[in-house]
Amino acid sequence: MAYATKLVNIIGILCKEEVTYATAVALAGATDAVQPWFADRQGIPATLKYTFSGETGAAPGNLGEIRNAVPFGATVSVDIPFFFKGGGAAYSVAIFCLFHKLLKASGLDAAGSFVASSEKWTFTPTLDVTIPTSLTLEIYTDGEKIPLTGVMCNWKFAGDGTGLVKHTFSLMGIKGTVADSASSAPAGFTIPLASVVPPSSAGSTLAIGSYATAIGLKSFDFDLGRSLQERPGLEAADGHLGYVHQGRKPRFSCVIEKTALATTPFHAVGGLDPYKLFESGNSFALSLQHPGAQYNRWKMSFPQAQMIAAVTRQASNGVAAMKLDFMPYVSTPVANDDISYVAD
Amino acid sequence: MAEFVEINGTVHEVPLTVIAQDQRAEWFAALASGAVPPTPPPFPEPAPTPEPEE
Repeated sequence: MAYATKLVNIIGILCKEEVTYATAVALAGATDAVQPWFADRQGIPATLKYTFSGETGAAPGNLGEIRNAVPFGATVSVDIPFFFKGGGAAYSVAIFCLFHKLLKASGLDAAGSFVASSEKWTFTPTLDVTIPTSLTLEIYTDGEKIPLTGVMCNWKFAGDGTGLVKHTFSLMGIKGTVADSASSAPAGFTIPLASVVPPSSAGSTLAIGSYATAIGLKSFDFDLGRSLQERPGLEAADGHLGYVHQGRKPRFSCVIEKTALATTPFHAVGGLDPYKLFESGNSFALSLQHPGAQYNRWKMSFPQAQMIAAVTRQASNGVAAMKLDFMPYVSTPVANDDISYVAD
Repeated sequence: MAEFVEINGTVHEVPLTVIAQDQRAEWFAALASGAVPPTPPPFPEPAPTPEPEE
């Protein structure tokens, strides 16, 4: 009996920024690999979708169906999870955090500042006048290679008491020709930052305005809320021209322990009043500092944020807790300053 | 597009061709030294993969 032909054990992802949208750049296992965090060894769950599935429907002369037409417009969507790994050494023009390219492809600009001892990369939203970053990507799973171009994504992250913060990039791209690929191919990739240990969640610092200390942080979630739209183009051989991005609706939520109700502005060193903070519409700065040694940590900052929903009470192992939902927003209608993510 | 570096207080945009050809370090070194950084030629597009025959 022959052994199984294709397995899900070995996976790999290569990616690189494109020069021209949806025009493939060459990828190399030695330089372009990233390390996803699929902990369950079930392969990479890429989903195929077609602009036109080929369906033609009912037969006119009987109760059956007629033969389908040829489908077109093949795209792939897939959620790729990562844990964070910093550069592990002073950031430079050649040292990045693990998902630097994915952050850029999520509609964020990367700005490197390399002042001695405070080297960092800062990510802020890309202006609409700038062509957003797209990636050429190769997914290796199931003994096959799935090439993609014009890949853009949305970014989320979530953390709780289970250990590591999971960063998830929801990718969408134009499918190329799927090919057989032995598992020896991804097994031979050079995985970057192999010696860097991902920092765990313990030691995270959440600051809601002035309220920051001993808040009993249980969990947190962030969603960039980036809207990606399909771009059909019937003049193209496969009827699909990729994606365009539209607005973002970033949201951040957290579960913390209930505390003393603070007076106006309803957030203070010693307490927080979630009822009046929502009812007042007050604005405040919000930030989450993820722990880790220098060059292996990150901080998400929202210079202006509001509560956008009524507080939800929760019980957490006997402790009164609450879920708070926040919306970062731009300081003026033309500013681009709602989000700042720093790897330093 | 979408990647910038700061040298001595001045922000420079990293050309996409530099990124695509993994020449950031060389480009940055030239920029830091005051020289005009070389811009690599356009990235060669890979040959199209032939469609499998029926």
